[in-house]
Amino acid sequence: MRQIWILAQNTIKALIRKKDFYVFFIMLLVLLVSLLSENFFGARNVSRYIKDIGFFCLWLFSFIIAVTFASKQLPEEIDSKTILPLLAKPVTRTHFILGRFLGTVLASSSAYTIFYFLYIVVTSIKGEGIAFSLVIQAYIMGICFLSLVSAISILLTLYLTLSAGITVSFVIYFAIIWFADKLRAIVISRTGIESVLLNIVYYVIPHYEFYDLRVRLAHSWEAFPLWVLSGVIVYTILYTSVVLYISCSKLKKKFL
Amino acid sequence: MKYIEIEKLYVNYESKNSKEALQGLDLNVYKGQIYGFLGPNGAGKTTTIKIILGLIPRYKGKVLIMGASPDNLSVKQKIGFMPEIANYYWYLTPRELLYMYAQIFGISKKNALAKIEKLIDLSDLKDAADNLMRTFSKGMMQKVSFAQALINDPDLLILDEPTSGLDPVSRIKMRDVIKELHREGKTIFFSSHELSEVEMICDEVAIIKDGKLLRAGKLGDLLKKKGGSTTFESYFLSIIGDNYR
Ligand SMILES: Nc1ncnc2c1ncn2[C@@H]1O[C@H](COP(=O)(O)OP(=O)(O)OP(=O)(O)O)[C@@H](O)[C@H]1O
Ligand SMILES: [Mg+2]
Repeated sequence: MRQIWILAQNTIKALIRKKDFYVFFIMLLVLLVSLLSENFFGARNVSRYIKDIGFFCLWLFSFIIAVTFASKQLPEEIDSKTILPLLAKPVTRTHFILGRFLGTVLASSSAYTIFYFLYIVVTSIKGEGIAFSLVIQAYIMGICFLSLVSAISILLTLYLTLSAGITVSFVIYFAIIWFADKLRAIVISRTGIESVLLNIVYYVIPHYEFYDLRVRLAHSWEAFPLWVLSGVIVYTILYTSVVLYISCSKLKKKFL
Repeated sequence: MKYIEIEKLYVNYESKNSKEALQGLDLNVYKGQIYGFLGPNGAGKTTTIKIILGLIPRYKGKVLIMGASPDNLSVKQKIGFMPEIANYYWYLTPRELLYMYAQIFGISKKNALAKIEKLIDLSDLKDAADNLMRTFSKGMMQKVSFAQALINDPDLLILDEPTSGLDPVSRIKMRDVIKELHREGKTIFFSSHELSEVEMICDEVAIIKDGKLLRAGKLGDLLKKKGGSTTFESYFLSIIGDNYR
């Protein structure tokens, strides 16, 4: 446990000193401020557009930070050989993966928290604001999403090179947010063995589309019932655990 | 007591068209020894050291470190390691790096800070201790690497070519520190290409080539068997069978 926490702290320090996320931070700030001063499409819909575009950007930037940062963890450490003196100490490969994972999630969640805070401030200045329960739900969903994304990105870099890993993470994300609903419809329309196979595919893919509450926020819909939120949290924990377990077993077999 | 016990060790990196890195290696290092580990490039020295540290996931043969399996965490608690390639987190300062490693060993803050001061002094890093390691030269990194190997006051110190890349003065200093550590009772196992250095500080040596042990024993005894008149250098060349001259 001690080892995991120390590695997580080190990971966060790396993000701060490498200044990776400052770029995104400034970009989002500029974007939100410019949204604040603009008056697109007539006065009536301004609030909705700000909510929509603002959330889209904060989501995308947080996602990019989580993917790039998580993907870099293992390849950088293995290629630069900094992993050798580390694992020669009382640190197992499982500690290593869990520490880097935890650090990535904490770091990308902190960035997301700052972005989200800005977003809430801007939307409440410019328009009617968002129901508090929905604000909290969307926030929790975001943290869950970033955890799942980080775990999957770490796993991919154990099988692929760094750049391939990042690319595949992006492709999976966009494929799923565009096709998961259509896949659901296809699954329902098929029968027999085809339906079984498609069902398996449907249940195995990481359902990123569950987490994105952009539309709900933009239209000021009601918050979910609590059981839906709990379900998503449980799903995230199970899925992330399985992905991390596979990552640990893979790293344990790797020659360094 | 045997600190390192290796018998009939085979390691295969499994990369295509590569031969086995270790092919039935035997090696015994006893508590209190200062042991030189020699062999030409690609002989398998670094691979053996990785085995000792539990960094190689699959091998065939017997490996016991202080009587236990090499991936045992309480064994690792008592080992210090200086890798062949000194590369550390460039976004940290040496002081921060040493502190992080001290925490990993579970050393209390007070003891860690005292130890870090001592090590910074010992390895000549005073002026650079609070600079990011991004700007460090190879030799400075090597000094950081040496310092971090001592953070936990190890019983067994494993050094992979410790003096490579150091200037002559630093080299002599490090050699003196190694001798001093040995006097304090630490067991030291190190690989090197510097025959004169090995001659100066080691009790015993092992010479390996192509993943096999060729000779091991006290340096004086080995040379005596050859008639005693040869230098260590010509002895070494004759053992590894290099007809360069
Ligand atoms: N990660 C690796 N993957 C594949 N083969 C490797 C790997 N590391 C070492 N080898 C091979 O194993 C053999 C032994 O290498 P090793 O690094 O142990 O040699 P060495 O004695 O330390 O050499 P040097 O004096 O150059 O440091 C070599 O044939 C090398 O090509
Ligand atoms: Mg080597």
